[in-house]
Amino acid sequence: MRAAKSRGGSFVALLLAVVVLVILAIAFRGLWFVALPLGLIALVLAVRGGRSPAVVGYVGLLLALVAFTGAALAAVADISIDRGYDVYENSSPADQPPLPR
Amino acid sequence: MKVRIAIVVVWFVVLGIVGALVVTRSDPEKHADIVEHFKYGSIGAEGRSGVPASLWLALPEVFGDLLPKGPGKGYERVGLLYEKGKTRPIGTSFRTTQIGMVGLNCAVCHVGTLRASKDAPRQIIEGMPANQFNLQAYLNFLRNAGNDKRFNADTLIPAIKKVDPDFSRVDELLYRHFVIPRTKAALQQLRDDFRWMDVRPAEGPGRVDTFNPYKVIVGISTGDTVGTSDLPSIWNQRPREGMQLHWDGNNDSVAERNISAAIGAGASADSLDTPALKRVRDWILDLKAPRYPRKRISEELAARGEGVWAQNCAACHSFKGKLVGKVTPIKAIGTDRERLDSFTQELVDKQGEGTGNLPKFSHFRKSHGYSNQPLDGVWLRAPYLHNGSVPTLADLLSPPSQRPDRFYRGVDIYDWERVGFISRGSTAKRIGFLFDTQEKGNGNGGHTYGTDLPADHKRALIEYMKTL
Repeated sequence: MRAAKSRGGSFVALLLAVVVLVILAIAFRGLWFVALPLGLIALVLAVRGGRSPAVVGYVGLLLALVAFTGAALAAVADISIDRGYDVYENSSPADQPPLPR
Repeated sequence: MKVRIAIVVVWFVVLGIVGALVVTRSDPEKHADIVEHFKYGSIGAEGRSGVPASLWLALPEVFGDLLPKGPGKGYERVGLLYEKGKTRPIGTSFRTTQIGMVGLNCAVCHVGTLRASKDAPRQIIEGMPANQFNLQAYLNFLRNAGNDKRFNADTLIPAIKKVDPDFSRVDELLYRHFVIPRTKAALQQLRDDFRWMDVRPAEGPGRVDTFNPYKVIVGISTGDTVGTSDLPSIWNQRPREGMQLHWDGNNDSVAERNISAAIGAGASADSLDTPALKRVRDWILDLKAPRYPRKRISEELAARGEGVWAQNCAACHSFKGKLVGKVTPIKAIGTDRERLDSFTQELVDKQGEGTGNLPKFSHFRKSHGYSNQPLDGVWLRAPYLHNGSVPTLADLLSPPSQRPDRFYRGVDIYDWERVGFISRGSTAKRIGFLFDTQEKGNGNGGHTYGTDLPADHKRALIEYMKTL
């Protein structure tokens, strides 16, 4: 029963890690607030995977590490850009009049 | 589970070490030759104002329409100078930090050009004011580009790949997600930081407003003063030690003046590369100004002019003069006072505090006039007066009412007759910047010394001044 639970945890970690990587590939900074907690959950589940089959467990752990690190980098990238000048926030910056040359 | 925890720990330790190495990396381009170092070496200016190198190369490709009209292509259009075989212009430096960054160095403002005639080859002269470089146009290009709809990864990355064959997949990921968004944000910040510039007269080539950008950095009002003045030469710095430096004589330390200039080029207290700056300082201490071509000087006339100089000019403008390097009160000299007024006591106080990631300065002071400059290499320092409002020595020796109201500057063809650069005529009109002395800060009045000399004395004086 415990082994089945562990195995289940590793599979969920693996799946979550893949989901996080897909989110990062599509939106990166845009959805870091989703990717980061999911990445953290994936990492915790992967670590707790215990006696699950080695391949699934270690692949899950590796992907969870990559996913969590990527999500953390996305968060850092997003937070480090001043909101007032964020390209994601300013949909049409060129609305401002051109400067002298 | 213990093994997995160990893996996680190892992962984050390795990540931390790699991260620390990347964050603290600072690897400047180095040159053993001091002239190369001066022209292309880093003084640390990439820290505050550098642009990611691959992006910097691609910007003129994408935003060519935002560059000023004029001769040349790419950054040549703002007056940056390319030497044969170099991928970057003189005055730009390269430093690898987290990524490769391009910044500016001393040479961007202190390397000028000269052509003996319209068709003569261009001579590049180290230490001369950058008569052709339009710093404001360069900044405005970056500001406009950062605010343009085309400033996005989809447009810029293909352009980068065209100009930078070494641009890898990893670079692409970094640029798409980190570098381009962050640079765009920084350029929009630059746009706002320099808004004060948009409501002042255009600076034109060879000039800069030195202290209004400082006010933005330390968080005080720029007011409405126009501090735009000519870029200076940097020859013979050793005998200048202790003189009142800068146009208004607000600092008497060559070392501190150099640091202040490096801040102007984009460095901060943290990023300043002191050893690299010291190399430049040591070199310019005794760097000599180029001599005026001997064959173009009448020795006899120059000899007569030496007496006129000694009687009328030497006290203020000879290295051994009693008043050289001292400030002449604005009421006495009567030249445009905007530059003087733009440097305020409030700024002096802030500079002493070291706010805004600036070093703490201790030699700045508020003056009451303009400093008497030694005139070494004066023939290459045209246009004249602190704001570059008088095109030639012949014009400077004319009463202010007879000096040209409007003329072209930024042309490097020499006017051997009047001693200065060509400032009127069709060529000047085609490639030059129209300077209007009626604009705020551009006044060409004052400094009437020598204007009442007899014509033959003026001719002799000018001939002698060619020899300085």
